[in-house]
Amino acid sequence: MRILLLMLICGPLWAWSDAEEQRYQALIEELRCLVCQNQSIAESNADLAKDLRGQARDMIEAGRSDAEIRAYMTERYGDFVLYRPPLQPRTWALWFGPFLLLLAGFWLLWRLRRPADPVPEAPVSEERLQALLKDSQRHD
Amino acid sequence: MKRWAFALPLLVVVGLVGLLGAGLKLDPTIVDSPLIGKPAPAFELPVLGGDRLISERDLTGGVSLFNVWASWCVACRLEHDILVELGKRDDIRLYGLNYKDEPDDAQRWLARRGNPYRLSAMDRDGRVGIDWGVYGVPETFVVDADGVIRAKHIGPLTEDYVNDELLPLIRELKDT
Repeated sequence: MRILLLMLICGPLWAWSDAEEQRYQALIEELRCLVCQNQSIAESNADLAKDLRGQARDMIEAGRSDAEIRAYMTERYGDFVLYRPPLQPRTWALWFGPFLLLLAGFWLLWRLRRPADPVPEAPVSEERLQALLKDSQRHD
Repeated sequence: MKRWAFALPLLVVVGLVGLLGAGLKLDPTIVDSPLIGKPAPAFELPVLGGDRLISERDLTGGVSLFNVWASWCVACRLEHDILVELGKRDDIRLYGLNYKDEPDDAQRWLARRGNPYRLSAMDRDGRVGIDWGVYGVPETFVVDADGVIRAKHIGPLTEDYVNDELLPLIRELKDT
């Protein structure tokens, strides 16, 4: 009975709620491992990844927000540690560039589809037409 | 209109190729440090082989090199001779950050190869390394007399880097 009471009191101290677990998983998947640069710290086996996962975990437990944890990482490792580059004037080209290029491509296609000015046809007389047709039949 | 409509995709492609080609020449393993121009991160660690503590305050009062090293780091052997030479200079103070290492292994490594450092801080769990943005070993930081980080070199120090960048920077810092 006393053990049960003790567990009830101590439980909340080492409980890691589902919400926190979700935050942790989301965060470690959007932080890049600088050693194995094509992996997030969630996937990487590098020592640094393990240390940074631990750091993220400690910060969540200490009640830090996601923004604070991201700021902590970028203050030390720069924007490259985030998989999602921040949206700032200096990254506008990176974020909007592809869409602008796509739009430019569509515009170009549209312009090129417009039919060229029709060339006025020289009217062909009926007799000339018949003569031409007979001519081509004879050569078959 | 038709004439330059044909040139436009070509220009775009040439522009893209130029941009991407330049990008291919960059080394992605060299990550720029956001700490350049900022004060050295605070720390307090025991000294390797001693019974005192070392902190970021020890890096003030003169131009310092803070070299991240470990006995398990193979690349560190490549720069050791250069560090020994730098350690002999009287215009730089050389300090070490012994990163994620065992004190015994670290001591043995220095005994075998020579200890170029005035002092080495023992960062056994790598937490101080994280504060300094360390992601590989070796790395070297240049800290000025006011304790501001002025440069960071990723990888072993080379003759070229020392002659072309490090010594000129130190000279510049001395003059200010």
